[in-house]
Amino acid sequence: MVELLVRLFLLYWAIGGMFAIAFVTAGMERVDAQARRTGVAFRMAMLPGAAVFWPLLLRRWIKGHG
Amino acid sequence: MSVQYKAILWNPQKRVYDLTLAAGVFLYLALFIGAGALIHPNAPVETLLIRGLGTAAFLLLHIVLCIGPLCRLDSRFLPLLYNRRHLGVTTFLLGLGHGIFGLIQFHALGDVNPLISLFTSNTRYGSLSQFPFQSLGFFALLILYVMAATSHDFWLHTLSAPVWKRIHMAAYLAYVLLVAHVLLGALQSETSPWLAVCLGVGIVTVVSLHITAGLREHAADNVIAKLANDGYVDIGRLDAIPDGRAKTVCLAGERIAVFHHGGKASALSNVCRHQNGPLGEGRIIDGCVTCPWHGYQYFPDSGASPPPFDDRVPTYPTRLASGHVYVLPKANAGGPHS
Repeated sequence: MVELLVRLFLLYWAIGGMFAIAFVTAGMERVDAQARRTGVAFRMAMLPGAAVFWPLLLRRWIKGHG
Repeated sequence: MSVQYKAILWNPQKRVYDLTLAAGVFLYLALFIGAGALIHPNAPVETLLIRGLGTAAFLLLHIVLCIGPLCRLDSRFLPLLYNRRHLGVTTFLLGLGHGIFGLIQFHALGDVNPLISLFTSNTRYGSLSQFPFQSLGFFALLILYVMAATSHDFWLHTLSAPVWKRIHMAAYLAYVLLVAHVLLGALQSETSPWLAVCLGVGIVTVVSLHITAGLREHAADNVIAKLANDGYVDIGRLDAIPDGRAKTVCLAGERIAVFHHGGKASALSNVCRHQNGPLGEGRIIDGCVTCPWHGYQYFPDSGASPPPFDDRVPTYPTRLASGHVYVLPKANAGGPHS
């Protein structure tokens, strides 16, 4: 059971990591207008958070919220 | 409030703050590992590093938690609050170093995934002396990760201020988990009393500062205000408030900052839109109420941020009579969450 939970946790993180790269590359502007034309350093700094909140961000990205 | 995000909005104060922080962390680690090597010459350097990083993170978390109540008790501590988020990120990075080195040293040498090994190698959750304390540290580190990862204003905007605030209040849960991590881990094998004494002093300091600051705020909130017939509340003489400063009062359950500026009085919500900073502890700079935490600004009469920003805090009707300021505890159009 513990092993399954840890593997699910790692899976969530792995999906989040891949999503985060796509999000900071192409999705941020759709979620928040203030993220337009922002620099590489800012986008890199948003990677760890995007890897955690990817379900929320994915939904907003699809909706074009912002 | 910025029109375009940046990774860090550097200014001279932040540079000094971060340089001091980096120097302090480096000095602490050098002293800890140096002294450790002298006292325990047979201790592997990895062990000293794990302990040094862990204690540095725990010590920094104490400082992070104490800054808030210290600033409420004495405004001279406000400069510490100014860049507290960098303290928090540093706390996480030190904790992460502690966790990674610990995982490598104790869980990476077998053929089981180190993270799975962390949770399955010891399952004696019913034992105090053998408790798998590492799992507590893992969950505390997870909380610190989420806090560090969401420390930028982008997340404040994306998650909304109430959600962001709740996430960051989890620092207290992380602290409780880390106290248990130390109590059930390092303290079980420690023979000298210094660690227990340090831990006790830390807990007492954090708890007592929070209680003292809370009691002081509670007492200030309960000061009896004289209600006028039409609902306006006499909050005292205008000249008792220094020009450019505020008096904070609690009326109808809302904290209101009443500013004195050039013989006029303006009342605004005490809660900054940025990170709920106490506007009443700030001052008027360039004609704007300026939050003491991160410098967010609002016009005292309208509560609106100066262009091009579009934030707004609620304002409250005021009037002056016989040198006294009267405030109507009813927010102007838009309400307290406009």
